Amino acid sequence: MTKNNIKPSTQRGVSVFKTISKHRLFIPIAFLMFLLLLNIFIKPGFLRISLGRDSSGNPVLIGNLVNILNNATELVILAIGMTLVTASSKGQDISVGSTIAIVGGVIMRVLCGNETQPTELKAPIILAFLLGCLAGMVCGAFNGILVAKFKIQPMVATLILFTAGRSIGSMAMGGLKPKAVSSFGYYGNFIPGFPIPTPILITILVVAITYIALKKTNLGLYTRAVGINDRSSRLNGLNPAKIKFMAYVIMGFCVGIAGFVQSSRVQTVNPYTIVPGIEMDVILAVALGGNSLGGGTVNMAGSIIGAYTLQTLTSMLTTLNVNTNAVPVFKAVIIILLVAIQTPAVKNFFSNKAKVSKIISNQGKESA
Amino acid sequence: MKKMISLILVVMLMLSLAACGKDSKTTDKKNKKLTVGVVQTNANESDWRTANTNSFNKAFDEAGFTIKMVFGEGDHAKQISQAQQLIQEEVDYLVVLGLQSAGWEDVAKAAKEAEIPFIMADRKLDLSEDLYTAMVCSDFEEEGNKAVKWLKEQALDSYKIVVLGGDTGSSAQLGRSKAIEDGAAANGWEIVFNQNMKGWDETLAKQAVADLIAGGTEFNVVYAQNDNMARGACDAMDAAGITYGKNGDVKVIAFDANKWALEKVLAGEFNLDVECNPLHGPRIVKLINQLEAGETVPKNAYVDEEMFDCDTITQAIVDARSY
Repeated sequence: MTKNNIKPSTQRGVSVFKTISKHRLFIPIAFLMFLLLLNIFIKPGFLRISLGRDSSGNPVLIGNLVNILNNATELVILAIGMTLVTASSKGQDISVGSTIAIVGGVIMRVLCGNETQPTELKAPIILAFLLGCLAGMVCGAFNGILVAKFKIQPMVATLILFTAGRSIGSMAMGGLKPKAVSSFGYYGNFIPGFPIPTPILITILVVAITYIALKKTNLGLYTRAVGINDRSSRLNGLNPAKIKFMAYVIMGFCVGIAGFVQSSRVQTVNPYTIVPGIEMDVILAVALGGNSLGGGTVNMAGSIIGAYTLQTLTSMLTTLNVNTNAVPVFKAVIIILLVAIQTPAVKNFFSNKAKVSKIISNQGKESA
Repeated sequence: MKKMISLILVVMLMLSLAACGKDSKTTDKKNKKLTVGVVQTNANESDWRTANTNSFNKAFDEAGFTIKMVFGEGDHAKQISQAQQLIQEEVDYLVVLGLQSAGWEDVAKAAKEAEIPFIMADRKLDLSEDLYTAMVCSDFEEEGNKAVKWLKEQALDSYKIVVLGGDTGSSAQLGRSKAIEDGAAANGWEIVFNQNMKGWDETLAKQAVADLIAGGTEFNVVYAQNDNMARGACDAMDAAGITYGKNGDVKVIAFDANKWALEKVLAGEFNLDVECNPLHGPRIVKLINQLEAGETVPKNAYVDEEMFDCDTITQAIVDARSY
């Protein structure tokens, strides 16, 4: 009797778990939670956030979580653009890191002119920001034309800027390596008197705009349609070339914002070493978010969570003082684990196991 | 039509071959301007590198050499193929500043077969002595040892050291890391963090130090393997309200000694900056002139390098610095 009473409730529990685990955001969120829990387990003070003061006496928030949210900014913003690019053009833009070098070069040239240690800004910051975004969008448009109009594979098309971008950035700076005055640093650090790092606020703004754009416009739907089937979307009155081109220009805009934040962090840009290898991290963030790299899915929230997951991993490797030679291996092992869980082979294996155990338990009941 | 085109092609091919033969026959080493191939790391990697590149261009220009400078841009394999390309172009001298110290044997052998003197500059490469002609390098381990010696003289109550390394595998990173690791082991100091930052850059160093502070790691020495990373570390400590430098809690040690960094030493923000001299151009020119004159040159020459302490540095030293 009692057995019968319990049975439906556990079944309901199982089914709730099933619906949760089937949600498209379940695996990305589970990864992030897993990493955070691992961190807390290793270093119990991991989540602690304290209010400190910087050397000028301004209040600032200090904590690993703040650092992760802060340092993931570029990754998150780029992942948003990359999701659209991946979904519509069935390929990735590998030129984002090099384009950031171009954006950074333009911004530094506008702010510093031809001096290496200018005592004042040569132009308003807003002008530098706008020109930086423009540079990013021009690069995006270049990639977009190659992909949408000339139908070159995205990875090949963006290989051009991937190869040349850092040199172009260096040329934009006139071969100098200037450092701008510290007031330019507000956008990559703190606004004096306000304890939350500015990049976090910028991230919130960009994510909010993206959310509204996906809710209120057909951006997501059209992008997905083009990515799933180019020809049928044209038959339905869409212009695939235009939508792909748009995705690359939006990517360029995202690169502009990310480049602005990045160059503001230390108020100087080194085109050859800025954001080393970020292209692969961004693509990985998109993949961890449950998006198909073959196009046709727009799981924006997943990509954003994927970006935070990667930053958590980076931060973790620092705080744990992993041996420097082992860092890439450590990172690779965790990423392989994360990706492997998502593959159909592993999923099927677990669901089959669940089925088998269910059958066995049912058989057990019948015989009893 | 087809025959016509193939005929033209054949004629052109013959002409170009003839041109080749003529060129190599009339090459007279004494009358020709010397061509020196330089395999540089990156054009704009750091202020140090910019000064280094400018030094080569200026000195070679004054000496009347033709310079063929190529940049590896962070890619070790690219550097090797560029060096091989220069050997095929039959430059008269090959100067290599390697991104990584390993893997240069084939290039050195090819240069030897082509009878092109192979000169290592800036960073020592892993080559046996018979494979290269001369070396003008910084002794990175010695630089690190100077810093370790200075650190020992400070007689701190405890040593908790954060090591911010440069590009993994470069001889600068290997030498400077080895010095501090050996020094710490010999003196019983604790290294609380030791990782290499990709690309010698401010941003990654800053993020790493910020993460350490947030994670509650205590430290009182920052051993940053170049000026830029030291600046990044200082930015992170500024943001957390940790004092550093002459009157602060954390000792900051930097390497390279650029002009702006010496200004920071003078201002008491860095405690120590160990010089790494980038002005290789005139030294290489002198070396090449000696080789041309048939003189014997020292095989392994190390550059003289100083260090600058915030207690002893003067305005005059900063003003005298050109880069």
